[in-house]
Amino acid sequence: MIQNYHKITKVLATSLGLSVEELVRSYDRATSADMVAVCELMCVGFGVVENLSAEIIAWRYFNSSRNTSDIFVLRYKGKLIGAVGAEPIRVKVGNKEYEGICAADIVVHPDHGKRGIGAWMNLHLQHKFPIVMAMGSNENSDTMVRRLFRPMNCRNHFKMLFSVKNYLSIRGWPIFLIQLLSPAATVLLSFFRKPQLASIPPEYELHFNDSTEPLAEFFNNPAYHPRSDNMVLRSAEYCHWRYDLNPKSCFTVLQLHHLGSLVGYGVIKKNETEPLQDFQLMDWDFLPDYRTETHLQILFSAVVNYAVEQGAPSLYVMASDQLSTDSLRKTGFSHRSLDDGFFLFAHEGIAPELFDEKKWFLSFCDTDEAL
Amino acid sequence: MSSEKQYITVAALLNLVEDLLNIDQGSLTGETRLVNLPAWDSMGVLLLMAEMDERFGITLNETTLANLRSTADIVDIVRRAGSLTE
Repeated sequence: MIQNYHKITKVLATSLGLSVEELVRSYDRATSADMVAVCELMCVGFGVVENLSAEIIAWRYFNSSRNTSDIFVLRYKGKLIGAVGAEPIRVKVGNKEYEGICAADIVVHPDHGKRGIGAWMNLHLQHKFPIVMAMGSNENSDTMVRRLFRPMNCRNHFKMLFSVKNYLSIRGWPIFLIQLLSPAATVLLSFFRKPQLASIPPEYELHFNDSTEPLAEFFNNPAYHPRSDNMVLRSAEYCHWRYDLNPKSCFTVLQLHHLGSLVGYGVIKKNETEPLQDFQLMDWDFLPDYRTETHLQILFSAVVNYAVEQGAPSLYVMASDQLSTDSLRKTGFSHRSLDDGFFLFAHEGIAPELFDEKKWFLSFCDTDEAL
Repeated sequence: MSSEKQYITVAALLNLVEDLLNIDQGSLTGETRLVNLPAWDSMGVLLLMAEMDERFGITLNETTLANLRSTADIVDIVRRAGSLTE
């Protein structure tokens, strides 16, 4: 498809009564002055969606310190008629690193739908950036995304249930039966869970923090280097933006210290609604010497204990790499039949192992539906 | 656009549209409503626009696309361009 980019761009430009140059010039990063129009466009295109409130759009795509954004907009006859989120990412493939974007929230004004505009907006991003990831699709974009990107089926979902109360009420069980069964069932779940949880050896310590500030020590440690897997690189700055400044969700950072040094972390998303909703383990990593099944089990067990103490009814984790999925199973998480993927595009010349599904590390941190 | 004018039958045109929309051969009739097809999306439209331009020199502008409802409309566009054959 990308080979036909120039031909397709010319055809679309002609259809809109524009020259190729005018079309390309009309599609660029939004400025801060466009924020209201972007919010209106998203509202018209998607309806009222919790993940796309004005506050979330501002946080996610508009950096108030500079007059630019991480969202591309298409202007036509003086109006914004299309937009695509384009979060900058740095992708590690083997020993190489590439600049790319994660495309999300593609929207075209309904008055201009089915005109090829959404597909071209994606195609143009693929022409412009060497790697483009898309973490999901909606019913309007699914066929297009599947034709423009390569599906990568490597997201494995895991769950651990702590309380059956929510579980049964969602499934329509009568309240009296839930009240009768849930205390005993919760005790039983706890009984079966405990033997699989790893205890913390005496030379290790756990610390919890509601800010990502301690992660600067982790990422700035000279011993730290990213996993060998393909992954979107994290940094202290990224974590600060992703978690501390996130207007939608609250997070707790779990730090694992060994002999006084920070050697690993996990970020837990707390859904602090009433009644308390499921928790999610968003992300985790260790210093290279500590990336072992034993340490992963210690970390996952600590997250389980924390979620139980906080009263969460269950804990969800998404993982793709073998080490994490094995460790989750051994910690007692059950695999859910929700395995899905993400979508990937890369220019020729990018290391081919980028498309090896077995080599990817992904967590909820990478997905746009889990803000 | 290719330099030599091309002609196409209705059946071949429907097959071409099926190819572009990535749907099963034989699934379209001369009266299929495009708006009911999940494959009739931005991507399908863009590919149709490119193919119409390349093969028949037809530009599908905003107004034409807005009025495109069924396969009969596509056949009609190609007929009016003088590229339909028996």
